[in-house]
Formats: sequence, C-alpha cells, structure tokens
Amino acid sequence: MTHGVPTSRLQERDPLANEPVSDAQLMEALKFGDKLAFSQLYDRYAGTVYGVCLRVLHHQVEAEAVVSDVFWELWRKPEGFNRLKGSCNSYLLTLARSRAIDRLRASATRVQKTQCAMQEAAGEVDRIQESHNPCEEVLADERRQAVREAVGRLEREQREALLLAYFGGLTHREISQQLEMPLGTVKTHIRRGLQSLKAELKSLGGHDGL
Amino acid sequence: MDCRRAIDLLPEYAVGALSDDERERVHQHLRGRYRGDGCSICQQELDELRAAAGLLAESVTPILPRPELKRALLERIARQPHSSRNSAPSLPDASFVAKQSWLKYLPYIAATLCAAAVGTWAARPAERQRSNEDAEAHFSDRASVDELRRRITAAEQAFGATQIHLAKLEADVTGDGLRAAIFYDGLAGEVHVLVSNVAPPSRGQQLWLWLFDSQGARMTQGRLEYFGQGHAAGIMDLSATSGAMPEIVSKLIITDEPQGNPAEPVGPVVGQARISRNS
Repeated sequence: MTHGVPTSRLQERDPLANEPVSDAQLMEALKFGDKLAFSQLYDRYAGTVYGVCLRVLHHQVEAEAVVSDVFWELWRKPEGFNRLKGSCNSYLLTLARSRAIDRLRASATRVQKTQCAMQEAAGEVDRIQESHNPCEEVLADERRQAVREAVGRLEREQREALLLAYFGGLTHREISQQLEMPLGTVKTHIRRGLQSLKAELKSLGGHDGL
Repeated sequence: MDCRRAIDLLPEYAVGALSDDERERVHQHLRGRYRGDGCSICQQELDELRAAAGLLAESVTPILPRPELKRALLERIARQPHSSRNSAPSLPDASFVAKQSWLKYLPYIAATLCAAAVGTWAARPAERQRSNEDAEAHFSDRASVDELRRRITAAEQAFGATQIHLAKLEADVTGDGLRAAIFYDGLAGEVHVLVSNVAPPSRGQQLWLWLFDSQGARMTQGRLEYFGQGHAAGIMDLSATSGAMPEIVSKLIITDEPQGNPAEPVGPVVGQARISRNS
C-alpha cells in the first residue's frame, strides 16, 4: 500500500491471491498502471510473442527488440486492446507480427529471410520449447496442438501462400513469383485458406488465458 | 474504393499481402477520410479474417526471451513518471496495427519545419544561399520562433514522444543549401526526417534518404515524400538497444531512385550532409 492506494488492483479484486486471473482482469488492471498485471501478462505471452518474432525475423536481437516494443506498447496504451475484437493473445500476436514485418521489410537482408520463410513454409521447423509455468502450459499446449492440426489441414498451396505472406512479409506479387503461379491463383489460395481458418476458429473457439 | 472491391482485397489485407498502394486504399475505405466515416461492414469482416489469420501465429511454438528483457521493461516502467500515463490522449485503435499515414502529422510537421530551419541552421557559403526574404523576416521575429517551439513541445507531449532528440545538420559543400532535421523517437524506434532546399524527384522517380554511421555503414533508409517548394519528409525505422538517439549517426545522402524499395543507392545523389549535434 502506498498512501492508502493498493499496490495492485489484482490483489484488491482477488482476495484469494492464488486464484488465477483472466486476461480480461489483467488488462483492466493494466489500465490503472498495475505493474503486477503487466508482469503476469508478460509471463503469459512473452514466449508466444517472441516465437512469432523469431519466426519472422530469424534474428535474436531484432526479435527481442520487437518483443520489447510490443509489451511497451501494451503498457503505454492498454486501451488499444478491444476485447470485442478478439483475445488478448491474438491482439499481442497481431501487434508482434506487424512490428516484426515492418522491421523485416526495412532490413537489407530481406532476400535471405524470404528464403528462410520459403523453407519453413515447405516443412514445419521445430523450435526449442521452454515452459515457464507447467500448469498453464498444459492447457496452452493442447490449444496449440489443435491449432497446428487446423493449419495442417489446409491445402498445401493455401498454407504456403499464407505463411509466405504472414511470416515472410511478401506481397501477393512476390508470392506469385516465388511459387511460380499466377497472381490470381495466389489470391484464391489466400482467400480460401483464410476462409478455412475462419471455420476452424469457430470450432476451436476463442482463447483467453484462464 | 467501394465495398465490393475492398471485400475482395480484405483477405490479402489481413495477412499483409497487398502492395503499399492497395493497402493504403483499403485502409482509407475502412477508416474513411475522417474518423467515424469508415465502413463498419468491411471492418467487421476484416476483424474475423485477422482472427483467423491469428491461428497461424498461435501455431508457433513459444520461446522464452532472455530474462533481461523483462527486467529492462520493468525498469523502463519504473522510470516513467506516473502522471504521463494519465495525460496520454486517446490514441488510434492499435488493433489496426499497420502504420498510420504520416500525413495526419502534417500540421506538426509544418510547424516543425519552421522551427527546424531556425534551430538547426547550418553554415553555408554565402554565394549559394537561396534568397528567402519571407522566411528570414519571419524567423527574425523572436516571438514567432518561441511560439513555434512551444507548439512543437506541445505536440511532442500530446503524442507521448518523450524521447525525441533533435540532431543538427550541416550542409555539405557540394550540396545546394540543403537543410535537414532528424527527430529520433526512441519509443517507436523511428527516425523522422524533415528536409528543405532539396530538388524534387525526377518524373516517375522518388526521393530516397540513406543514413550512415561514422564508419560508413548504413543505419537505415526510407522514402522521402516531396511536398513542394523544396520540402520533403519521411519516417523510417531505426532500432537501437538504448532509448537514446544513436550517437554514431554521421551522414545522410538523398538520391533520386526508381519506384520500389531500393536495396542500395543507385540513383543520382541530389543532396548530402554531415550530421552534428545541437550544442
């Protein structure tokens, strides 16, 4: 307590300090500058954010810079998250991916990174997984596995086009050149691939931490 | 752009596969020229497509970053003045995460250009100084200069740009009285560059700015938007591990390039300058 003000609104709202707190509650507390809420959100999502940044940038230092940018943005503008539009997880990942793509496009080694993206689109590249909280990770692992299976069910051409755009930062014309297929075909693959993912998302449901 | 065309482009917009021009047109359709005038139907469709595209990110295996990252963030939060959080104005919806058009900053850029011309004046040979009686008369008015600086400070506070630094440029002897100012936004990792007395791009070409360090290594580059009477401006990424303006920024050149994203400066140099610091 400082001058009669609770240090954390999470403690104020949750007398049972060991009860898990939902993302919505953490985001609400964050709007009041709750550092504990920020810390918990970071612990919950820094791994996925960093994983996406590494997937795009293939560079540890640059990926770390984007992670810092994303969570600083979260701290500075918590009102940027609209729970009506999606989960906290999807908000952070969208922000991370966008910032990473911007950095990728500004990079002089973009050709090299495009080649990496091509290789990853062709085959799933496994990365080292580290668990920060085994209890929360179990649920997250199940969800991630279901999501991977959903992405795996996409037709190969749709998946390749989507991965090149989403993680490689390529435009549809560049994808057309890389995959040596007409531009209209690339557009169709992206459109149909996303429609398939929309249907998968309905069956998976939204994902909110706890 | 109408809804029929926009909806056709939304899947590619959602995954970032559109060209810059196409993306901007879709963005304008979604947002409208003024806030509240955009297309809610297309926005809703876009939200659903983005959520679907988000599954791609969710499928990535998480990897924990180094613990130092979290410590640095918490230290940065601890250094932030408490009042600055509450005083931040309502900012654009970050769910639309594409970079906003910098044209909305035009009033502040215009004010900044005027102050930059005063605050970053470089020594130039008298015989190449371009006559600008209006500017000279205006900037000799101390009250006007102070007013412009007050407005720039207010703009910086409004946008929460607490780490903007101003670097002074000196005109190169081979230049044509080029004047420029660099603002580094440590929070966004961006460099905002304003130049004046620069030649316009050739027909069908574009002005491109290149920043170099003292060793001659390229630090960043980006397009300059030319908006007449020798004035141009641009925003480009410049990452730095510290929050301070990179001290090694040493030189800039401006070239006249073909359309697209040049990987190297290939066009003719239309301006260059060494960078020094404000005293």
